[in-house]
Amino acid sequence: MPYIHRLFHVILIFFPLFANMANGYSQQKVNGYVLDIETGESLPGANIITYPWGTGTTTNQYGYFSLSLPNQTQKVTISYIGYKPIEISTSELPDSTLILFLEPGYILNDITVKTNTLQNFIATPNSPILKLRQSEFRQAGSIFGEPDLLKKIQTLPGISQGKEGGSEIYVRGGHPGQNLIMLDGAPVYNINHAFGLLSIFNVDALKEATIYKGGIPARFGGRLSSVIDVWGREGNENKNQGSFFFSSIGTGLTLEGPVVKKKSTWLLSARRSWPDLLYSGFQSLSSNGRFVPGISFSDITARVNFKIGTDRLFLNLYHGKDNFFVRSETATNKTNYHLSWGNYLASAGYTSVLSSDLFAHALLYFSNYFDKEESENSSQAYNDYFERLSLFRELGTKLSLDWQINTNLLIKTGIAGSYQRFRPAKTNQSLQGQYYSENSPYSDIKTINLYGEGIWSTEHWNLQAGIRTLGEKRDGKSITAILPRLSIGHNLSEQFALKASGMITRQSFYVLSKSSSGWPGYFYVPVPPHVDSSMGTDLSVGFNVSTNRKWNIDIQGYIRQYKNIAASYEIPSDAFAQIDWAEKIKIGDGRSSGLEFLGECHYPFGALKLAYTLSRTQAKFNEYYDGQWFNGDYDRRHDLHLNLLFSLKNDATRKRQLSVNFYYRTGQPLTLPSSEVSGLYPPLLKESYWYDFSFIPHYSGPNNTRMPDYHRLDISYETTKKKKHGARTLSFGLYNAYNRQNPYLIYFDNDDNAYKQLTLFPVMPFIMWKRTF
Amino acid sequence: MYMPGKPLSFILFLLSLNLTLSCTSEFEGEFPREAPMPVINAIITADSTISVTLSWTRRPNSMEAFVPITGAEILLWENNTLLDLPQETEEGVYLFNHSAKAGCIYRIEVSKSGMKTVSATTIVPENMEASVILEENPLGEWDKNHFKLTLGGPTDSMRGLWIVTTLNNNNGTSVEQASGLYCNSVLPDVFNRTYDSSVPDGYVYEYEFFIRIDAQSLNTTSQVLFFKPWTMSSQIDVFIITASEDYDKYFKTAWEQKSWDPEVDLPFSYQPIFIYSNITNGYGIFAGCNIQKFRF
Repeated sequence: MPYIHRLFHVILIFFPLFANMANGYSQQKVNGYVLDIETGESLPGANIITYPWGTGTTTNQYGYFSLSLPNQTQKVTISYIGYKPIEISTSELPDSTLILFLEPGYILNDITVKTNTLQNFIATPNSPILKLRQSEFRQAGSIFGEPDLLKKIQTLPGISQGKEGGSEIYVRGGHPGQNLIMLDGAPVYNINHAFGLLSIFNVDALKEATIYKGGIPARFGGRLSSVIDVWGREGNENKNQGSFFFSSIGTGLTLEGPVVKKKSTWLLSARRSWPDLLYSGFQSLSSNGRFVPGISFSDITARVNFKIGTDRLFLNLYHGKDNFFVRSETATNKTNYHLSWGNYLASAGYTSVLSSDLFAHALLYFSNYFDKEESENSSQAYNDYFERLSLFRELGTKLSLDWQINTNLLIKTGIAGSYQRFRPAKTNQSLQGQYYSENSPYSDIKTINLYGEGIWSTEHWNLQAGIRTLGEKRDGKSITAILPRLSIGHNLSEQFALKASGMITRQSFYVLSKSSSGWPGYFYVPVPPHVDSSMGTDLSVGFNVSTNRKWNIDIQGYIRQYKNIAASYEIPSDAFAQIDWAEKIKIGDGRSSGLEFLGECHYPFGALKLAYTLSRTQAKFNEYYDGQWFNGDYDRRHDLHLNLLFSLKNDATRKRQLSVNFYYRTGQPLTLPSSEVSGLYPPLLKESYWYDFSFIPHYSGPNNTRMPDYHRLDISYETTKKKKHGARTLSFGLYNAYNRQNPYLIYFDNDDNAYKQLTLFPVMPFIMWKRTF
Repeated sequence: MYMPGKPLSFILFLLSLNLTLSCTSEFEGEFPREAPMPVINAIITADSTISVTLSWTRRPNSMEAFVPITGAEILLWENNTLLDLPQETEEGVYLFNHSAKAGCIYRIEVSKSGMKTVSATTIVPENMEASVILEENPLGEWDKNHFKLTLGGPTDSMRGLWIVTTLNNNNGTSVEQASGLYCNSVLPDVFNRTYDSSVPDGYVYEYEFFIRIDAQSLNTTSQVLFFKPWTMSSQIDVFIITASEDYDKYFKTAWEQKSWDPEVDLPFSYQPIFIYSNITNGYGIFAGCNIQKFRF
């Protein structure tokens, strides 16, 4: 790839200042990759620590590190949780790029880590970042036995769940559409499967997820609220292997292996729901094929990786889709109704070690989301059809450089461009020979960003300061902005760290809900031309106390503001795929403040984790409550999650553990009638109507009351047994063990003339079986 | 959201299958509180006398009757000309000795001691050009006839067009409003439409009680549509209602609110729907419309 090398070097020309800075130091340098010895997969977040100084760095998402060793460094230690650490004497370090292999299966408990970026705790001591590894994805984040990454993320402080069972992520009062969710560096849109019960992420194909709640680094942009940076696994470069699972709602298969040993790998992972097959088959048989319904979700991830010297190339494809259809047939008619939504994502990335202290990565991606309804009717006379859909596409590229200038200073800089195309509404009808098409015009947002961030770290200080510049063209209107980001951490001692961060963010599109009842159906629209882009600010302060990984307490407070956010409270479903959607939304502001607590305690026979958030989230729209602040959609005054993990057995051949999870949160805001108004009947004969129009419920405004508080207890047991080839895992348990009747939805029952609450998730057993081979 | 009933029932069935223990119960939370507010209800129809009803709001889920507002002073302007004061013919019902005129703007102000002045403005639109004929349906199986409606362009002050039919007795008196209309045209709004392949005579779409056409649609497409009521009778009246923005929005939102059936729509599309109101310092509706009648 000589051209890519040249391209990276061209970029260097634009940063002569950094080049001069780099030349000004003469410390011994070391760089390399840290990999799993069994699979050859990279280990992001591994620690590289200098002795006796205790300073060091961590590997990036590609497992790469670069470090300038302080004078008189005697050795470096490379460690990663769950792996045996290795030590290398300074005198043994070669000049070339190191390839370091760590052996899994060892518990790290005797090394004090003081890195210059991140540590391996779930809450990092000096920044508002949360980090999750693959081994943690399966804990406390499953529904019906199916592990889910986003369910796990929802248990963290400052992050709340929307509807029970849903995959929505509400970070510090922000809307789910204000989160930048990335898979291997490329953004994905609408993360819901199975009407939100599952996310699109298949945990068997994932390696790591990092959640930025505040102090978002300058290299990320385009969203107001948070960044969830998910990276997939590369696949085993030494041997072919796989896994298969079967849960209450789905089944999945993951296969991986080398294309050329030690040189290239492939990974293929697929999931599909299965209960629908039983139902569809039964209905089809019983109706002799004349009535065939179906509802399903499926996704497939394919990835190939190539090692080219010290460079890396990966190609990634993802497709996920949800379907709901009904086909019926009579003697004269054939009909088909079909509802579907889904994503396509393709990305290609290339990384290059330009020099011992300079690492470059480039990414090209295409992301697509659609939501579509269609029906067809074929008779002897006509072929009628109706379809309406909403589309969103993004093509983008990123080019970035990581420059380890010296032991204490890492510079990250780069350029990113994206082209987003929206078609909020497209409707086609052909009925009895009449054709009608109604399309909203394409709206485009072209964006270019330059960013630079410096990460300066010493034994006691960590400063991450960055600037992101935004150049944007939206509907012919040019916008420029400078978005500063700052994160400061100070280690007062080995056990106690202070942290503070601030950020300004912007977003130029809205993600509108198809229903105000909280159901996770969305469509994407650009911010209308007459409105400025949405803007968010976040300030947070906190501290972290920990001792030798036995226990860790992390407390943060934050204040957040949003400008020019959108809501469609009145008839949200009316805006979907409608060309006049802009007239059906309201523009307003939001604010949120809160205190977040995360406590973890590890003991010989298990672990305890307590996450608690005290927060208040409000919104303000001129159209409601005379422009006064009111409770935001996901204002949760109290949000608590307690996890108790009991390790009953943990040896080389067998692992058994019992997990108990308790959840409590304040009832979510709800809109109910505040009064009833005498009503009028539509013309002409009121006695003909079967609805009672003599009274009309009146709503004083959105979110004018709350649901009852939510709480539940889950108990699960998991046993894993090593087999000759791979392992077998069986987990089962009870969801909502004491059968709390948590309301999923409040609605008016016409028959009983009263408001009712629907409980969708009472006590439920679940089971999941998994086999790796 | 347009979703036919059968698929939604199917989704519900699947949910029920997976979540066999899901259940409903009485809502245990609190209703929001709001002080009683004055309500104006008046539909101003061209060439008809004007009647205004005043009442107070009541608590949600209340079985009590609405309390009328009696002894209020009502001022009504027609194109800025103040009309004679109305008579309170029964408690809370005020009748003006005046017929409304198409194309006129009406403003109302209601005052009473201890109550803020309540006001609203609307327009009575000019009738839209429309003609209806009864002709043979080439696909007719059960009934050989259907109606052909031909429309002109929309008038400035209208927002929507509503089509309603009534079935008459031998005396020519409307006895029943057709509870459904078949229509396969692309012109109508789909919000009260359902899809049913078993509909006869070549139709697949049913509209509950009326067909609404948005004024915007009338600018862009063919101005002809065919329709027929669920049942025909020896005498049928077809009413074409030209609706002001206030009339159109109020009845559309009211319909959407009332027609959500929790047993069909839950949990995918149930939502609190805010009813349109153009009343300042109160609730209700003050709206104008114009009605044409065609008898067959």
